Order: sequence, then structure tokens, then C-alpha cells
Amino acid sequence: MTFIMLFLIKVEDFCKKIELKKQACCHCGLSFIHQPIRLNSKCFCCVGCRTVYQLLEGLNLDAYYSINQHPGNKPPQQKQHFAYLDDEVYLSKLITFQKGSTVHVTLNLPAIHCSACIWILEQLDKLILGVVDSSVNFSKKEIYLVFNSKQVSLSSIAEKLSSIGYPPNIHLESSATQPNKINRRLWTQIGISGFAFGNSMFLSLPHYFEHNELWLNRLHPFFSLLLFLMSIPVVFYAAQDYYVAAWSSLKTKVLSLDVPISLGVTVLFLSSCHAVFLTDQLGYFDSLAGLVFFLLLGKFIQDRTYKAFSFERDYQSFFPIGVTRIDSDKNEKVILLEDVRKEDKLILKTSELIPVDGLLLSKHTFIDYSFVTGESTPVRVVKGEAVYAGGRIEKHSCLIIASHTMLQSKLIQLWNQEAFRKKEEPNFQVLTRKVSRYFTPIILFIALLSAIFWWTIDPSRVPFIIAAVLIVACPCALALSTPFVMGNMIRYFGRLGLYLKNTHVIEQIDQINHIVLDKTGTLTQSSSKEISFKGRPLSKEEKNILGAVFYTSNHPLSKSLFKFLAIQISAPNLEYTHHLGFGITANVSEKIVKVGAAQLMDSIPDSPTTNHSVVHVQIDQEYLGYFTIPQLLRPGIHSFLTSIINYPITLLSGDNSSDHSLLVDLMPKHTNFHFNQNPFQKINYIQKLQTKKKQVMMIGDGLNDAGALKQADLGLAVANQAHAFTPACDAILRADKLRYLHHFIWASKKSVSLIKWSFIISFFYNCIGVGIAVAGLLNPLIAAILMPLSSISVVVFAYCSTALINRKLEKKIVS
Amino acid sequence: MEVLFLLLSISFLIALFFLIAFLFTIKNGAYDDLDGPSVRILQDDTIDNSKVT
Repeated sequence: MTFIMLFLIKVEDFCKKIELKKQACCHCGLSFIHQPIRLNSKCFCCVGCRTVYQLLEGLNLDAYYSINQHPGNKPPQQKQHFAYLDDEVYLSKLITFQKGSTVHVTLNLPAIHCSACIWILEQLDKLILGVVDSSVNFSKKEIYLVFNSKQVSLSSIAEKLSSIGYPPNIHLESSATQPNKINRRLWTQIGISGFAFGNSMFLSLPHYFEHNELWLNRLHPFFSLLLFLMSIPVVFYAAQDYYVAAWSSLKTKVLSLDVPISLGVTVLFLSSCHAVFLTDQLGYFDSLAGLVFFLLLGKFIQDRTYKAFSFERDYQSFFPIGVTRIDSDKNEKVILLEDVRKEDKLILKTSELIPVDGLLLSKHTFIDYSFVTGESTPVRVVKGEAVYAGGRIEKHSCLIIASHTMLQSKLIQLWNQEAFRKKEEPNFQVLTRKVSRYFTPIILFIALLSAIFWWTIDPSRVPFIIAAVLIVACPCALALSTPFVMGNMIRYFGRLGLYLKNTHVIEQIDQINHIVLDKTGTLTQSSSKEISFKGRPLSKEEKNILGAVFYTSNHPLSKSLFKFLAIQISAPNLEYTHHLGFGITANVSEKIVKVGAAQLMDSIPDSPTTNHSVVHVQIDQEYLGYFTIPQLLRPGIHSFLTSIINYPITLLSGDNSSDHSLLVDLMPKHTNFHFNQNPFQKINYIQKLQTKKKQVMMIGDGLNDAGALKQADLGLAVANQAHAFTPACDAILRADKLRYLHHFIWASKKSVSLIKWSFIISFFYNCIGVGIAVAGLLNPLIAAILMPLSSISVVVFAYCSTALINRKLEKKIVS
Repeated sequence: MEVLFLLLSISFLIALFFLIAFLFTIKNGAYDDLDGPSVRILQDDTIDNSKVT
């Protein structure tokens, strides 16, 4: 009996699994918009996905699908052109190494996201003839390729990668520098200081427990020499970045935390050398190595943010690096974008970005300016009209003549505005900087006071006392608290869908007191806005009746449907009842009209399954059909808006005020509305707020917001897909997590108070240490206990407390 | 007691050897991709051999 039961459960499980698989595309895992395409009992959402599957299956690479469920990426619908890659100009920029016909190239593939991606990309030699070897760097989303240039060209590799759903992201920027070196340097510094720390602790230990033992006294010179030798690479190599930073901060007359750190390290080293070589005592070499080791560890934690995102994007990362120019003899030639001159004729293919401002030479074309304005409806342009850089060619390839060079084009001038050059030095004070400004003067003051005090008692001990104060008051715990607390929070946030540029951003979130929202793409989705009607064609009279019904209702759906029907109505006279959440029943010129949800209708032939809003229509018992309205608002936008109600909110929109009434219902009552804002006006508006001492958070997407995002104290970009295009900003939030923004704000505020707490811990240790130093009691043993202890307790506190906050945050977001 | 000189020297040299080994792995790029290997380790070697051949 139980056996049968188990069997039944199994069968049910299996059926459920099949059901699940049916709902999503086998390749990319997206749900079906149209009728799925079938092939061997597998369903695909589009021809592109099926083609990739067939290709991989044909090569016996279908194990790709067994590593992860739905591992694929939807391949681009139009074939992308990479022919320009074969031009010498680019090849030389992209190639990292070449010997004969063997070429090494590193390409950036933003679509890499799972283990199956690594697997398939490392099988590339089976997929493309001529590829010798390929290896993937998962963190950086890069593929390192070795290929034979006689057998295959880089352009065909790029096209193939694009056709299987991994379009390479090729830009001038990506061919620039390799950040590997900095990373490796930090690892080396940590390794060396860690080695010195462990070993010098080990060698110093006997001295702390035994005094005047014969064997120890004989070994003493040997021990001291080893300790001294180990400290040399620590002081001169591992800690060198702190001296550089301290020097540059002194030059700008700012007392950053690097100043007391450098001072402490220098004094530690000099006084230890003095103790070892002149007075034959034990120095502080172990404390020195430990100090540097902990500081570097903090730096490492701070640097471990998400590398998958590039926050420092500029226009160069969006434009292609090459364009096709036609010269006077009608020869096509690919040239670098920077080399485009006025009066050059350029060919642009479908779905290419217009690189420079110019005039259209072809008869007509459609241009999608959503990149620039956020408005997704394509614009029709006819011969002789101006086209602007940043627009995307929708249909027909076309010919344009450049009227400006790239740098003179409007969009690029926007990027070259002030807003993009400023920053790095935010107009708010980072917490540690505030504290460190007072730290050094106070320590110097204490040292001076105790020196005067000791001068009256025992002048010979004055240098020792000064050194002791400077050594023990080293702001190690102070310097560690921010990296550990904030570094941890950044990682926790990243897991929950908010990606931050650096640790300062959390403190900035804490200080925000005004939120500016963009409409298109942020509150609303940038998907197509078309309303469609399915059913039998409507007569003019029926349209008028429906229009009258929709006119009476304030529901957003009714409003857009009324607009869709496009009829003139002069104050209709009708009886109607609203069924909350279902629709409307109305009596129009002796006819009973029902519009709304399926439940309201008397009979429905087929109920559509879409994720769009559906409005059914019935007049006098006859079911006419239904309207589908693609969802305009992002899901969860209501809960998002109610959650930020405590902040002053401004809505800046590039569109006209046609949606005003809809937005008034939607937005909190105190919202300021500004319509018809161009990118420059958006920047100006934020600047105006900032002159009123407001800390502005700008939430937006799209290139048209890029200036505003940069100008704001905190620029938050909303992204549908993690690897999709994002403009330069401080933080990226996954679109589906937008409604949880207030929880993230809460956690940021908590983190800032955690830092304050760890400052208090550090202050407590410093008080003890300075007290001992002033009393003239500091010896290497006390330093060796006190300094690591303060660092470790701050680190432990940071780890435990952030983990606690993370648990609360996860609970709030999941539930 | 003199043997301590020798023992300490040896222990120091062994530690130094590991430091050099660590520096060597850094140079060879073992720490460049910290997330990749964690994903890669779950892949079966067999899937590609059994299917391709």
C-alpha cells in the first residue's frame, strides 16, 4: 500500500516537473509570450533559442542543458555585425599576444552567469574551427581565447558567440587596462605582512614569558636580527601605499586616517630599531607587522565588491568603436569612431546606434531614441531631417551624412558636462574622515602634554613617552571598522539584489533626505505600449458606447483604453455601477454594457493567458472580445511608493504631462511633478536641490538620466537584467527589488550606527593604551597584546553585528 | 643550546619557502578569479567525454 502511495507521489512529482518545463523555454527559461515552438518534445520561446539548441545538440554539446536548468541566454534577434573587428586598427587594440598565426584575445561577455556558461564557453574549440583554447574568468565575465588566425577570423568568432547568446561587449574601453596587477599586489602585500606577523610573534613569544634566562640572552641578538629583517619588507613594501596616501592628503591639507597610520608605523619602526641596536632591548616588530597585516586585510575586504558591474561607464562603452564610411569612390571602409569628420557619409545597419549627429540621406527610416529620452515609440525621420547620436535605427539600413564630429554631438556634450567631471570628493563627509580629522591633532596634543609633564620629572624619558603615545594610539581599529562593516553589508546587499559601487555609498544612503524619481523605465516599464483588441471587429457605435463607459471611470486601465479608442465624447449621460476589482456595469442608451474581469462576463469562449492586463467587453449579453493592455507600471510599484512616503519626492519626466492624472493617483500626495524635462534640466533641478543643502537620491535608468544620476549625491540605477545596460551611477538595484528599497535604507542606517559603535570600542582601547603610555609603562608585551586585541575585537564585532542585520533584512525581504 | 640556532633557522627557512610558494601562486594568477572555481568544481568531467566521443 505504502509502495503504491509512494509511486503515486512520484508520478505526481514527475507530472509537476513536466508542467513546469512546459511553461518555460528549454533554452533560456523565459516564459512564452507567443505560441511555443516545438522540437522533439522540447518547447522554445523563439526561433533563436531553438537554433542554438539544434546547433549544440548537433555537436553533441547538449550536456549544456544538464548542468543547469535553462542555462541559455536569448540570442539577439538580428544578426550582429562584427566585420569591423578584422580591421587592423581594432585587432591591434584587442590582441593581447600574437605569435605567427596564433592569436590571444580577451573578450568581455556580460551574459556569463552560471556554471553551464563556463562549460560551453570552454568547449568553444568544438564549436568553432580554428579556436585552439578558451578559458573563462567568471568574476570578470571574460573569456580568454587562443585561435589560429589563418583558420578563423575574430569577427566570425564574435558573430558565433553572439549567435549562441553570448554577444561580446567590444568597446574602446575594454581594450584599455588590466586591473589584475593591483589585485595581485594587494595579495602579495598581505602575504608578506602575514608571514612577518606570524613569525615575529613566534620569535618574540619567549621574551614575554622568560626574563634573564641564559639561553634566551644568548639567542637575543639572533632573534633581534631576524625580527628586524622580517620587518623591512613590511615597512618598505607592504605599507608603502599608506605613506603615499598620507603624503597626498597632507598636500591637500586634509588629515586623513593615513596620516596617523603612517606616523604610527614610522615611529614603531624607528623606536624598535633604536631599542634593538642601541639599548639591546626587544623592539615592537611583532606589533608592527600585526598592525600592517590587519590594515591590509581590511583593505582587501573593502575592495571585494562586485566586479561583475562596471560603475564607471561613459558614452564610450555604449557606442560602437567602428563605423562604416563610404568615400567618394563608393568604397566602404570601417573607420574608428573618433576619426569621423564632418561631411563623412556613414552607412548604418538595422539596430545600430547612430554615432554622431547628422542628416539623413536615405528616403526615410524609423529611429528609436529610447536610449536618449526613455520614450520607446520609434520616430519616423525622412530625407534631409536631422538625426541625433544615441538613436537606434529600427528599420532599413540607411545612409547619413555627419554634421558634427563625435565630440561635438549633443549626447556626448551632455556626458562631457561638469557633472561628469566632479565627484570622487563627495560633498558629504565620510564618517571616518570626520573622526580622523580630529584624531591626529588630539594625539599630538596628548603626546605634547605628557612630554611636558615628564620633562619636570625625568627629562631623559621624554622621547620614550612621546614614542609610546604615538605607537599605542594608532587608529587601527578605527581604520578597520568601516571596511569590515561596510564591506560585509555590500556583500549582503549584493545577494539581495542591490549592488553598490563602494563602501561610501551606504553612508550616503543614510544621509538621503530627498528622492528624485524618473518616470519612464523606473516607475513604468519600457516595454511596448500597444493596446490590442481581440474578438470580432467593433462597429463605430459600439466604440462610442465603450468610450462613454471608460470615460466615467478613473481606473488607469479605463483611462488608457479611452485614449486607445480615440473618440470624442461630450459629458456622457449614463447609469453605471463599479464592481471594485472586477469592472463596470453600465446602462448606455438602453444597452447593458459590462467591461472588466472575466468573472463579470456571462460567458467567455476562451480565456486568454497573458501576463498583461485584460479587459473583457460584453454588450447586451453578447461577448465581443477583450483588450490586452501591456502592463505599464512595474509590478510592486505601489508598495514601493508607500514605503518611501516619508521622504520628499520629486518626479522628473522627459515625457509630456499626458499621464499626469494617472500619476497623481499613484504618487504620494506631496510629490512634485515636473514634465517635459530634458537631461540638462534634470541636472539643473538636482543642482538646485543641492544648493538648498539637500542630499538627493536620484532613481532612474536610461542614458537620459545619466547626468542626473551622476549629479545626485546618490545615483541609483534600476536594471531589469543584471548585465543589461546601466549608466554611470553609484548603485544598481534589480528592478524586482525596487519595492524593498526602504528595507535597504533601513539596513544602511543600521550599518552607520554599527560603525559608530565600533568607534566607541576603538576609543575605549585607545583610552587604556594612551593611559598606559602616558604613565610610562608601555612595553613590547603590552603593545603586542593591546594592538591585535583591539583590531580583532572590532573585526569580530563587525562580523557578528552585520550578520545579525542581514538576517533581519533577509526576513523582511523574503516575507 | 646551540642546536636552537639551527632549529630556528630551519623553521624560518621552511616558513620562507611557503611564503615564496604563496607569492608564486599569486604570480600565476591563482587569486585572479575567486568565484569561478567554486562554480566549476560542480561540473562532471564525464559529461563531456561520454557524449563527445
